[in-house]
Amino acid sequence: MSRRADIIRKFYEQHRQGLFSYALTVTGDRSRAEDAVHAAIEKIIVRPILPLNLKLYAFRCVRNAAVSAWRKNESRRVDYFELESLPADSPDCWRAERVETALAKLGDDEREAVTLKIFDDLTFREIAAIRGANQNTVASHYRRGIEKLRELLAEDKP
Amino acid sequence: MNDVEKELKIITRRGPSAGLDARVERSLQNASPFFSRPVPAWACALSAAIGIASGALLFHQLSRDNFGGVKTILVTSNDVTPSSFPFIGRSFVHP
Repeated sequence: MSRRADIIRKFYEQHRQGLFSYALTVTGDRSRAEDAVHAAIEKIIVRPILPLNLKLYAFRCVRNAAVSAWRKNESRRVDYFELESLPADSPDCWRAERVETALAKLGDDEREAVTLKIFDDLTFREIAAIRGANQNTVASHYRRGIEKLRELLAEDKP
Repeated sequence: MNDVEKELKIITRRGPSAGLDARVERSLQNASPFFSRPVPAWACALSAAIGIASGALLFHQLSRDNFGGVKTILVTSNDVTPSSFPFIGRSFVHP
């Protein structure tokens, strides 16, 4: 096996969760999200030269593939969390469900900024590069998203 | 980190299925003959002459033809060393 394939494999193992979650954020559908991640990895594999910033390139590829999949998808409700692994009446399950519902109520730009920043620890600069957007715009989507989430989660408290 | 960020961080996210892992692995296996072709002597000699680390050369300065052969070496800003500096941005094509 070539060293190059090993690099891509290691990269995938390290970022599979992040790439998948991001694709899920955009497509709203598990199987389309997996297709988008696979398409991104294939794109990296066939490139003659590996990009200098593999992480940013992969997230950008996932975004492009996921956006085309999203256009075909009606549903916007996303199953982000492993709810089946939690007891149905546990506080963890309740918390995950209400966060999921709140995330679904954000605008697409806000949801993308929030999930990439919080789940994948990307900087505003990196998110801006992935989305082809301005860094300040991304930061403002993020802040607005967090504010909305705070309000939605406060409304929903027992 | 604020309260909302903390709340989101602690929830276990849904991961991709084993099916995706298998698809990616298959793609890597199918692609590997293309990339496992050795770097030819001319490329190794050139990289040594201009001071590019041979490990780096394997990964991103090469463009390959349809059969996996090395066609071009591009010296990028990743390769900065005192001796390679004058060559940054230059391409070297198969002689």
